[in-house]
Amino acid sequence: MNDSTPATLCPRCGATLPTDTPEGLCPRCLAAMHFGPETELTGGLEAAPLPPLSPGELAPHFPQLEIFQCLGRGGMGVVYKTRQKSLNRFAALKLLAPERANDGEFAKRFTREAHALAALNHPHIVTVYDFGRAGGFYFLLMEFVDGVNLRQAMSAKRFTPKQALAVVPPVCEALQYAHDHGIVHRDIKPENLLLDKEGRIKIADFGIAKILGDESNTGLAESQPAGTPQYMAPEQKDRQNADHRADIYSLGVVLYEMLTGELPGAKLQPPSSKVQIDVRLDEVVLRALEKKPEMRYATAAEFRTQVELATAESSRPSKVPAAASMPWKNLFIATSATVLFSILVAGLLLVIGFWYWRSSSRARAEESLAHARAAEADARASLMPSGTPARPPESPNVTALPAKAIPDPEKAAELSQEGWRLWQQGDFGNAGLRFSEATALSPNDANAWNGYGWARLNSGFADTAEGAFKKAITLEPNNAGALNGLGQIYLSRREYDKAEPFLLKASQQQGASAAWFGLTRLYLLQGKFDNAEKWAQMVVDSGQGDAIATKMLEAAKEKRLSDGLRQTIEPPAPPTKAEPPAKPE
Amino acid sequence: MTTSPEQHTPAVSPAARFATTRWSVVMAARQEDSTESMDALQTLCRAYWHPLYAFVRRLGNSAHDAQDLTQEFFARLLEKNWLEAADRERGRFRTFLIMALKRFVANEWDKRQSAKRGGGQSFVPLDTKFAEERYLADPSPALSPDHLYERRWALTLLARALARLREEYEADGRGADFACLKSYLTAERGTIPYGEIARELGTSEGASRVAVHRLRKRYREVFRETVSDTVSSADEIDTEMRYVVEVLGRV
Repeated sequence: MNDSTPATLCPRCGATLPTDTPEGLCPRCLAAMHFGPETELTGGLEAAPLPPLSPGELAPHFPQLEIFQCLGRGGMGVVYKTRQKSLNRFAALKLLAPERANDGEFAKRFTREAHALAALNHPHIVTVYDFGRAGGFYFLLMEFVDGVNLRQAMSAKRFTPKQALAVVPPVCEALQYAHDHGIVHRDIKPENLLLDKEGRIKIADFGIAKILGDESNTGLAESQPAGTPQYMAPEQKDRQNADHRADIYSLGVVLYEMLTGELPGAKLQPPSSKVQIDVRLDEVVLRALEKKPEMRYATAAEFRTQVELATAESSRPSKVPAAASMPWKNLFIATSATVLFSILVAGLLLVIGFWYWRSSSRARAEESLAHARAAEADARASLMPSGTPARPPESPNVTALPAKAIPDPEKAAELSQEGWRLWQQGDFGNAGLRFSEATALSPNDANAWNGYGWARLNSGFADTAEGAFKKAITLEPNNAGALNGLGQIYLSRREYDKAEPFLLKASQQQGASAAWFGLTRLYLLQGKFDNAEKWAQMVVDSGQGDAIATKMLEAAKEKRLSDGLRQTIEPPAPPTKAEPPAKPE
Repeated sequence: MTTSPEQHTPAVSPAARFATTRWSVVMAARQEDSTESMDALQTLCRAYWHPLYAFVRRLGNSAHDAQDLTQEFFARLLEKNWLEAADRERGRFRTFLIMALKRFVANEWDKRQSAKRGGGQSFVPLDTKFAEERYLADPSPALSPDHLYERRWALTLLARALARLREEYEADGRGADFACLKSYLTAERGTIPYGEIARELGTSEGASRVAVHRLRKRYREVFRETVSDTVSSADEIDTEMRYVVEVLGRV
């Protein structure tokens, strides 16, 4: 009998290997090979760029368009302002790398990527209307954004920290959406972040770096990886495996530049050492700029959450107004003498209590995220290109928020419902998007935050989920789903003491068998067999148990956790990476 | 207690030996209702049913019920023209299978149960013992049923790709090479001891370098082929590859 196979660790990445790992190899490392630098060998000879064609020269190739003028030429191609005759709408026509027109490998990559790009549909991503090949040109026809890019906005005036921070959440939201669809931008920089006349931000040139990319030209030191060096993540520069975290790095550079007016230097200095900003922001910015991708935010959504939290922290009043607490005390002392006074005071207390209740519920209603979103909205509004009206004057009801962020709890509830439906179908990515929208429309909706947490947790993003659950609990301290979620996250990180109170609180709710299951695991792993037995019994009695539950109940009764069962119920050890030193709470 | 499944189960279920069937073939032939496409579907189902089993178990079914349910599901899948639904799942076998199963659980399973497990028909012989061991061996009890399904799916793809690779090598009489070289599939470049490999294979260092490179290259190709067998059109391969790689990255 062999009941104690020790957990095997991958010698390369340190992950715990599943016992049934194929050929004894680490699945994670095997998977990573597919995006390795050896994947493709392509690329052609660089030809000298040709001068841009005039609208007149182009016109015969694009009969469906009226071509007005060349808007610019960049590394990514030439852009023209056009009008689609059939729909009578403006569109931007981008001709990609005319010098590569005869490169077969390029053609394949273009078609593949353009298909993926055309499938992206997000308010903060420039929409691709059409693509194809005409007159020897590979073209993309895109939404025309009437406004300026972030570079132009930055050179017009220096951003306040509040304005700079407001740029991040919508960009992260869009990046997360694209990343969920398997698309990485690879060239995030101020030139590619467009601001329209309503102050909305839109990401341009998604995935174009990949279409033009020659990252597969391994070993050619003299060739440039596609992208813009100052904004490129180290791994992207080194032509290592660059994934979605490269975008997070690039956005970190943009944020650093907006805050300090400078690019991060070779020796990275915290923004607060250059300009006067809240030091808590340093950590938020520097984490995005970590050299190692695994040290950065794991997802754009997480980056967004941290920026929003930091914004909320710094805009929250630091002291509770004295009036809220003092009157109680003074009145109480002054009136302890007589019954008559007491009655009077009781009346007064009622009045004060009511006033206090009203103000505190208002305070609740303005919880951290509302602060953050409002700040974001304000700052966004003030980012609008000068000379454009800030807001249509004919909408008198709207005072602080632009159209997109008008609170709409009903719509939010609908979105949440749709989110749960998708979640139940196992479509966690889209469920997450619905919940995310719901939280934007109704920032105080604990159910939406809870749903967002579960969608992200089931997608494998525990850090983001943790933030969302915490928010749900702040808004609604007895939210069983969020309590359970937070408990499960800590449990999976082997933080048993932290997990316990959340699971216990969740377990008190009706039918919370997941929390019971969690508590059983927790107590077994801690060797608290009596407690474990109680919860295991509840799981089994509820009829929700499976073979593992039965085994756990037996183990609790025998007061002995076999190695085999321990291996089954113990969460994998956290990856062994250099942790930054713990910070005081 | 059970013994460790590692001790006595082969790395790949016998039923998972690779089939050359492709989901695209099944999809293309679905209108014609041919026995050929049914056979093809059956072969595919047999190769990829472990993830479904894990899903059903994680829903809270006992091993016995999960076996019944899965068997019944496949029997019904093959007798009924459920492929109509495949269009709606955008042509990926992975999503088609789980959606069909969920529909089956929601609409038919209870009814069939109360009508009593009928006839004992078992159209798809499944190696249920193997599946149960796999399920119990998976060290991830906190995963939701869906997440577990995705994870088992990705691991199945990986196991099939490696089994296919191994068979290729063995068919050429290079089984020993494969056994020696496979652990360098995941090795960091720069850490591969070519000298040692050369000694073991009785060849030159240069030749061992080429051998490692070829294995790595061929593995990539085979994995891609394995994934492409589960999608219905070529333009879905990349998306599915990315997805599977992402899931494996979290394993």
